[in-house]
Amino acid sequence: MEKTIHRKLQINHTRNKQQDHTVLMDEAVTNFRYEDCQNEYWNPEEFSLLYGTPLWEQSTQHQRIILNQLYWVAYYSQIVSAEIATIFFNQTSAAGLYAQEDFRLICDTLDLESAQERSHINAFRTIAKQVEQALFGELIFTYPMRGPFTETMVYADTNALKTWWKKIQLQYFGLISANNTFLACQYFTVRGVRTLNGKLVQHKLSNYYQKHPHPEAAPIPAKVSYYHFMDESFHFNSSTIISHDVITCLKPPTAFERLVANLGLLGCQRDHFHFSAAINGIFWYDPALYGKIYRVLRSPIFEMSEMDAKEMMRRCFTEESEGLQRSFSTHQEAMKSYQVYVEKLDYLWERNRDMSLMATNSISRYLATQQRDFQGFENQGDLFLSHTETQRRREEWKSVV
Amino acid sequence: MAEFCKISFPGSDFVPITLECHQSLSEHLTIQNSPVLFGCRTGICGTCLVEVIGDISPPQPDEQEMLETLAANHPHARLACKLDVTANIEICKIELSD
Repeated sequence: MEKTIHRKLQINHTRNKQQDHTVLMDEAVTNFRYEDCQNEYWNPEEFSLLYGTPLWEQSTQHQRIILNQLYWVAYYSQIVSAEIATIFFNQTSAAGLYAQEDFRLICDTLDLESAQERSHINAFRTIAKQVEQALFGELIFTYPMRGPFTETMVYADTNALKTWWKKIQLQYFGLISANNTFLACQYFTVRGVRTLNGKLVQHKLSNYYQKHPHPEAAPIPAKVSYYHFMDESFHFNSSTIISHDVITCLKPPTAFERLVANLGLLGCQRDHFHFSAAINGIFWYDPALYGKIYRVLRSPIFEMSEMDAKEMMRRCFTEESEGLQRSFSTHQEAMKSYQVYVEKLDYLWERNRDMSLMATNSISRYLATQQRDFQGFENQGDLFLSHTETQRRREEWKSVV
Repeated sequence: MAEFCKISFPGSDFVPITLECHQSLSEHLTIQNSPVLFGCRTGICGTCLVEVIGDISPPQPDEQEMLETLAANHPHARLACKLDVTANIEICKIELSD
């Protein structure tokens, strides 16, 4: 391996070990008690669930605080899924990098990162479950632990066949990347892009702790955001070194390797196609969130009737708002950042280099989708009282508590 | 010391940006309003490696270590996310392969 690349890997690994935040994170989470920080914001105000929508405008100060905390819960529930997948693909890629000189340094780095991911998952789930139990007595955004092949995003526009096909593709990628150094490196292009997006939002979340007038007294979830942000900086760095530098030490990819690599990045574009009026910075497909938002509005926090909750949701999801504009703006910044991040990877197809799939989404397209899908939701009965739904949630809850 | 600092991007179409002194560049510059891509935002990954012309304080040891690895031949190389801006500066992107 070229000397400079090795040096970069060495600095990244050494500093990550020295500045590892998992001990601080584990300690913070052990001390987390929701009642200690239930009356304060955990993120900058603009990072609140449904910020800048009619719901936000109409909410009391207390409700706004809850929406701010629910952003944290929902956002990091998504990150849990991403980290579960990362742990798995770190391992398969480490196997694929075995053929690389100095592979041990890379693998030791990935081992450290996987251990950090496990700590992050524990922190996010411990806090989120406690919050949802205290607020709702049930799970809403938090879900039981999943395997690495479950969708990491909430997709309402999927079906059993598509879910099965995606699972097969992910399993196959894991298998072949464990025996192919180029594909093992290519995985880090996808991981880099995903982490790059994470950094856009997590930097702002971590600032809440960094700029807190008394950081030691800051709410524990805000501290966790900061610790997570710091660990992930090293993860982004290893993604960048492996996908941009280590890959240059390999033979040019074969046609098959190029195909698999490009399909992987195209899948990433597909995952990052949507933007959400409810959560700025996550690519959730909002119709998949209707049921969850409905439960929040019908809960004792908002106490809305069935009709009021649906009318509020109609206004939030099917009409333009400041919140929607902000989410679209984050989506555009992410897309432009990805273009620059991958611009030197000459094996990529044009549509992956210019992120043309992501680029086809727009506010008007978002609104057209919501207006179509919301009608179906609106015509359903009161989901809140559905016996089957209540039963399902009880079982889900029992499995995690 | 100036109260406001102008950040210019010579050699590009990006219009200058005025910030208060000591404001963090990574909170105000994006890939849409500047030629700088911020990656990790903590001075590690090198995606925000830039050439800076202007009066700025020298790098701290951690940043220096990264600069020696990433751009040993660029005397004005800096990591944009670590800059403490206290005067008008000009920023140009450095290509890592240089």
